[in-house]
Amino acid sequence: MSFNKILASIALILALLAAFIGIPRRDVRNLDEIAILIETGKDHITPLELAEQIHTGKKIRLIDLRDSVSHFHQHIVHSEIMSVQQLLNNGIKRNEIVVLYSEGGIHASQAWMLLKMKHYDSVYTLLGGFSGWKEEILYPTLHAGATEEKKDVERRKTLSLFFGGEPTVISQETSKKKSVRQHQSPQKQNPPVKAKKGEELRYQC
Amino acid sequence: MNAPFYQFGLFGNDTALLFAVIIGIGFGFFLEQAGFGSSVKLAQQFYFTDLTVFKVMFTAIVTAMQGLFWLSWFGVLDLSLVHVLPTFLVPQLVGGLVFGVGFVLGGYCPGTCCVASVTGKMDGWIHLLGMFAGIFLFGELFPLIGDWYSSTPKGEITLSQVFNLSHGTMVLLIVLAALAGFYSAEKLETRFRSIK
Repeated sequence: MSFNKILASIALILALLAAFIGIPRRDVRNLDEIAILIETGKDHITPLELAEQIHTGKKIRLIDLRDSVSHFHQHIVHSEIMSVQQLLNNGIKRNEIVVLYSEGGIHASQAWMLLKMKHYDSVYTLLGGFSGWKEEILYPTLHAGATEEKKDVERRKTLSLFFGGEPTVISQETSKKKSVRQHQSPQKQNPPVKAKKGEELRYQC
Repeated sequence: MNAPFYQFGLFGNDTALLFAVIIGIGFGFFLEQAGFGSSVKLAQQFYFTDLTVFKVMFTAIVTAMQGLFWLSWFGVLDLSLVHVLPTFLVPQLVGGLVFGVGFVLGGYCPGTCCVASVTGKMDGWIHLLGMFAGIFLFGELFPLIGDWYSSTPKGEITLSQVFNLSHGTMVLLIVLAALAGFYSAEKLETRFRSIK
């Protein structure tokens, strides 16, 4: 048998197998995979996990899906504002870790689902959205109790201050609230903007 | 799954251009090695005495098609991310006709005229000059023909979608067509060479 005939036979065998298989793998996204990610909580990252990862210098791309007014008013440091359309049209790369956040999280979850359908594997949503970030990181209420808890409280206080927050520490012995004001922030602050009288604008992240 | 590499961001535009140059040189090299730097050989296909171009091009289609299918099936390539050129039916039919007439008249297609030029063939250079003149003319006339250029849009359609068949069935049909084509080409070559 000539070499050409061998090649033709191989092509024919592969084609017959292809016809038997029908649709190549991953041509249609397996929705079960996405369902498992949601059920196992691998679709999101908590505010504390995100804060710790940023603090330790892990390269994470943060996408703010809120409107420009909300973003300008207050946002997580280094986050970029982007619409869902921009996000889907090559706004991000597939080999970078991306965390999406919106105000509450619904909008980010919708965008996450669309990205998963387009095979973006390293995309997560911020649990609780920006509201959760404010509650957990920027303005947390920390209960200082037992010795082992103190370390955790200190850690969270440090993180909160790192992101320009104002944690409130409640001492168990005194049951007295103690607000830790921001004395220093290692992050570069946004330029100040005139606030309306009585309105507190926060530009820290 | 990590291909297409560019789509997955494994390298940027600069590296992509570098790869394009390397692949382009490789493509030119193999065209030349297949004898496609000669307009005489290329023109012979229109007289059915040498159908190497048809056989090489159809082999390339079958190889690439099988490669895409099986790489996708093994989970290496994400087929949905492979760029599909959008179809504009009437402008592309006219473009194909112009291309064919140019090929018959000049004896080269755009790729092979570049190959012929770098191997020092004068007809290759004339063809290349004509090609750039055509590109320039098209660019200048684009404001006038722009609407027609994007008329009858069909989107990023594939044969599987047109015939409503699975990718695998389409692969089998094209391979069968290619094998039938190769067999017929051999027969035609034998017949027309004997007439010549």
